[in-house]
Amino acid sequence: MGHVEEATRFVADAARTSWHDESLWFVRAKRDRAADTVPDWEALREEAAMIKQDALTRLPQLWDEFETNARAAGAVVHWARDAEEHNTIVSTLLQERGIRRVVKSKSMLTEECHLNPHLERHGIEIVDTDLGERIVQLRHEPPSHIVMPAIHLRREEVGKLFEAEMGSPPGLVDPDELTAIARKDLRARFLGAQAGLTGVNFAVAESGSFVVVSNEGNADLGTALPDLHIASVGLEKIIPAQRDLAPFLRLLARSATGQAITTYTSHFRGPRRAETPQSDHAADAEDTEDASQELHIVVVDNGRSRLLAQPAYRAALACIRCGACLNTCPVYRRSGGHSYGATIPGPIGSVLEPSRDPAAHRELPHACSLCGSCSNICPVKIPLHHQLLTLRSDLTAAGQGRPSGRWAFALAACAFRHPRLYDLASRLGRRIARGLPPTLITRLAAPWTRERALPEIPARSFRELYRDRTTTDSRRQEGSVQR
Amino acid sequence: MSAARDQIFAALRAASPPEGLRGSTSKGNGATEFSWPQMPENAVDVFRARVEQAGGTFELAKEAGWIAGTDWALPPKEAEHVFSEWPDLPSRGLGRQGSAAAAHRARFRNESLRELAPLDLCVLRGVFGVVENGAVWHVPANPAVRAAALLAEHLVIAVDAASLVPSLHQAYDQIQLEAAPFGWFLCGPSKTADIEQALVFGAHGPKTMRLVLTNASESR
Repeated sequence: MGHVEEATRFVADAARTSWHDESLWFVRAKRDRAADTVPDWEALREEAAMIKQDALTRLPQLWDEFETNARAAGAVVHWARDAEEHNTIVSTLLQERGIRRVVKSKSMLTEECHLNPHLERHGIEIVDTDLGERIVQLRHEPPSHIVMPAIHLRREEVGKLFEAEMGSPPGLVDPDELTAIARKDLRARFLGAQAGLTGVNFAVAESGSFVVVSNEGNADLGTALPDLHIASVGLEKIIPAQRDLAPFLRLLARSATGQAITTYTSHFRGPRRAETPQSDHAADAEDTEDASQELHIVVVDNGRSRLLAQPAYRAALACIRCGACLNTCPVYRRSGGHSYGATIPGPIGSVLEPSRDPAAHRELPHACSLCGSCSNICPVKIPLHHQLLTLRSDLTAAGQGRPSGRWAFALAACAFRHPRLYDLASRLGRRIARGLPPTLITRLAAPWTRERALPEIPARSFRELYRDRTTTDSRRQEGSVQR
Repeated sequence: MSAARDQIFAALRAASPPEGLRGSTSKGNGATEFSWPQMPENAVDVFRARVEQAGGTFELAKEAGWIAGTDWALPPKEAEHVFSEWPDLPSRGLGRQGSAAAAHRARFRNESLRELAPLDLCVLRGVFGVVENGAVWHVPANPAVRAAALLAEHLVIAVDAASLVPSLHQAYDQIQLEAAPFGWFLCGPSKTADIEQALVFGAHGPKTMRLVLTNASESR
């Protein structure tokens, strides 16, 4: 099903649609207030955009530098050309160590790679630990938003789910109590996990370190205990220097949720190491081993180098996944994330997904009113609505236009090329339309007329009116000269 | 997997746009008009407001002996299991086991990290605070500190008022990550709004966070 059909299903529940719309607009308003506290906000956006555009010109150099420095810090760096290679690397690492239970924090990359079903097929239990992600995992559905995965659900639905999955009392709908139940359930899973999987928000070339942000602390708790940490990172996540983190972290949480910063902003440089025995009394070596860890970093292409090769869409690789373009998008807010049928919904997804798989996502650039709000709000200044417009022509040129559009535009082009044909068609059209009962016309013009009235069909065309007008005008002019 | 690496690098080289796009303009390059925020006059007030916005509580400790003067009780009960980076945590409000906070610290350091739970209270020593967002930079001395900061029900972070920096730009100027494998900014208690956007504290980590700004009288 395409975006239009899925969106139709979503908006059938009018109450949910307005709630969804208002909730996201509330987040958007919070973002505005947070941005207003930063006097140089626009300069900061410019700065961040420049850093990313510069990094995108020299990815091989930066990743080479990152690999060298990460290795020096004790991490192992893996390279995956596509989702399948990524998943195989992760499952092999786990299987080699006999690991059966893992926890994962939010990572859109592992969603994109469909890592969970892959691990489940290999008999590994994988638990998403972000509360919203856990909710959608238990419902066997994908996240509907990249920052707020369960924003499409109401509290009653979460209550029912927890009753079935976690044995919570029937009828429980209070978010505090529901969260407490999930906390207890997930805490046991954190304590039992043999490996922690995370995404990466920023990889820093000069230090071989990376940063993961969260409000819940799930990425942090998930990696603080187990002996193995696997971090999956897309090729676009690299920035040159540690000081470059400042502009991005100042922008990220403010753009995403209106917070000045997330609760946790964790910097990993190499694996967790047991204490160096210099402080206090020297500990026995075998105990010290307990607290150390292996760190594996999987760097994934999966279409990113192909996107880099397309100058019109390259800037989309600067995305820091804040979700602000989703929150502000009038189409996203009213159609819900699932209607996009893509890992990443909203404006940024509508650019990224069709450039990755045009046939599957060719409708997405049309899920847009070209209002431009996404481009205005984007913290790294991706020209999203320009890219969406360009995508429409590119997809049509590549034979991926919408069939209805293809016929309509072919007919229109033919009429515009032949003035006589145009004139004839317009004359006929007006005659027929004026002869039909208005209710029938309204029905024929659906869905455009569902919430709009058609204008009255004029008796005469613009050209006829104009011709008459010029004749009258010239007569008048002649008259004035004579006087 | 070196075949994958070679192929990815070849693809990136082929796809990379030409050099000469404007470079990173962070500090000193001067290609954009961008300048770092300065320390506000009322730095402590702004910092306090940001901490409270993030759901934390804030208090000033003017005397050097703030630890002795602090009530550590967690109503309705006393804090029993305590993990502290401050060695001289006194017993008031700490209950039976907490009175040996330092001993706990030594005991847990090299034991399995999971045995840290259940933990009532964790008391951390922050490196510096960031005025613009209320975050504190913290470098856990060892893996047990990092785990305790997440497993504890309640978190206290003390940071010196003289350490405050205006923004993250100045913060990263100070951070030497080479010195430690892990460091983090902490701001407020663990939180989520994943159920109908209702804000709930204590998603996975501490349910409360109390920030103590020490030596505040000598601050700017």
